[in-house]
Amino acid sequence: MAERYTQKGVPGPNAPENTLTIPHLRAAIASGAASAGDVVGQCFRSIRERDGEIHAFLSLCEERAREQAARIDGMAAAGDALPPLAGVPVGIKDVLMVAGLPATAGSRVLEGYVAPYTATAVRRLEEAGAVTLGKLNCDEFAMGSSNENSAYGPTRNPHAPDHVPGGSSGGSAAAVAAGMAVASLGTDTGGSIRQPASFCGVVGLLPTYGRVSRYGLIAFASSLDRIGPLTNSVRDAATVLGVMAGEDPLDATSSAQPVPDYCGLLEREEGVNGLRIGVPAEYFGEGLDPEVRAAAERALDGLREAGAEIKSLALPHTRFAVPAYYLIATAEASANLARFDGVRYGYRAPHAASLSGMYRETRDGGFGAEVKRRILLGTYALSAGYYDAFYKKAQQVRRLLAEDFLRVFGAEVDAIVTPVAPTPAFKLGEKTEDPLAMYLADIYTVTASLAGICGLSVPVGCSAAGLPIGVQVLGTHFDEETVFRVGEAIERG
Amino acid sequence: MREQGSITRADVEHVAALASLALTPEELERLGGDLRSMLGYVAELEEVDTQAIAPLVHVSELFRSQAEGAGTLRADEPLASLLRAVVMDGAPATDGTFFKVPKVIER
Repeated sequence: MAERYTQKGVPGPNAPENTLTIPHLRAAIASGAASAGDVVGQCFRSIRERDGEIHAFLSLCEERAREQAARIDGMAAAGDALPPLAGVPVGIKDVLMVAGLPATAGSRVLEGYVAPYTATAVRRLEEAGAVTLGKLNCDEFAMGSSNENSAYGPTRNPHAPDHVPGGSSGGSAAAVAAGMAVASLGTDTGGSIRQPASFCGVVGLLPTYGRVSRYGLIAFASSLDRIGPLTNSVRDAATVLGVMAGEDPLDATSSAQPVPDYCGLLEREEGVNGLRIGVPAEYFGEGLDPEVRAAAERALDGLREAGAEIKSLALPHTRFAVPAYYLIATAEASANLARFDGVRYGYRAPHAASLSGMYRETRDGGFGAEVKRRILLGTYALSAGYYDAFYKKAQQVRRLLAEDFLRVFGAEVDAIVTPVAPTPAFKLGEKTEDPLAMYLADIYTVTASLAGICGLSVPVGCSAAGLPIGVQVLGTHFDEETVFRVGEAIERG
Repeated sequence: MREQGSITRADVEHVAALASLALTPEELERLGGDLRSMLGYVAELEEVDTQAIAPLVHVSELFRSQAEGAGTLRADEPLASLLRAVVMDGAPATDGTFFKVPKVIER
């Protein structure tokens, strides 16, 4: 279906070829060239053809999707104005609640659990006409960078099935990259949208903390968790964000800042002429794969040619971001995951003789190794005698990291461009024996997570081996507009 | 910060008990080793002078005051909650009114 509706304009040469984007889909449905039912049917055909190998979906809801599509087709037939995501087939990461659908968080401990309510982000998507296809695979409780920590088996990279799709939103990235969905929702706590987007060659947005309500997200680390879209174009990411963003009385940390018209801004085609783009030396040092470096430099050359001013800058606390992140994230996770005790939802260890024994055995049987590893570190960091040395220290370093960014945004630069990950996608099994090596690869993404700023992963081509590579555009709090402008300029090459 | 190499198997068992994790001897060995190596790594933070730095517990303090004023909590008004039957449907063992668990008090 992709080729039939491809039009002139976005996406540009850096976007994946022959992909279906939201404006094309909407135009096709509005003009009667395709029905929402056709599009959904094509998605389920793609899923049946490809997902046996890729394993992006953990559950499907075809009947529900066809009913949603029929409603859109009814509106189109009646000549009603179509909502912004009319008929857009989406997949939802399985850490987000959709009433009546399974919510496993990639964990055995929630096997068989059915969500009793719907996350605000998903509700807003569906109210805007999106059609939910199913729930997407992820690392257990979003803890991982490869999708290999899913209790239901790993997702594979559609570009190279012996490689990981990244994580933890690996299913979300793979579903869009394989053409099984037009957009998906992922979550990003330390890079879990941006890194899989880079590995799979799609666009992934980390919105500013508070921009999108977290209501209905199964919490990993509440001060870091964010929900964002993975799409085939920067404009699609802007469209989905525009629908999802905004204050929600059900999440006290959601922001009341007005939601700008992101797509209207992009349609004005202001480009990047005169924008100041920062390049932090700390993100281009030792350990950066030469092909990833070259890809980032190509993107910077393109921005320079488009009239942006490229400036070196220093973010001196960058190298402390990974240790600070892993202390804060695991400390919060150890508290958030205390609720999985076999009483109220999901799995309960059978035959436990006592209540405390049931808690322990449920958690030992229900959680995978990575989740236990992080709970142990987080519990240790919060335990008596170590709180100041670990947890408080990490929060102090977090302030220094945030101040690094706030010092340069506005005063020196409008946006920052960096690699997303030190390497393209790696092979399945390559890093599973060395958890610390896996953590270190989060170096370029955990900084924005800790500072609460927004970030976008945009594809910039492939390695010689054919593996996608993305670059990251960072913007200050609530400045997704600048990030989208820069992202679209990179996408156009 | 304490010398990280000194974390013993008993320390790991203590942390596992705090977290209500019943680890097998193999898990204690492997995850204990991982904990040791992570604690060795995060000790890098000691290099940063944070004496005069306030902890940043939540990023919203960086922008909430300027953008939104003081009121960040919604009005305290009762709203409908989930139906008991819907919640009980998701639980491993209930009598329809309460969650059932192994006996806590022996008579």
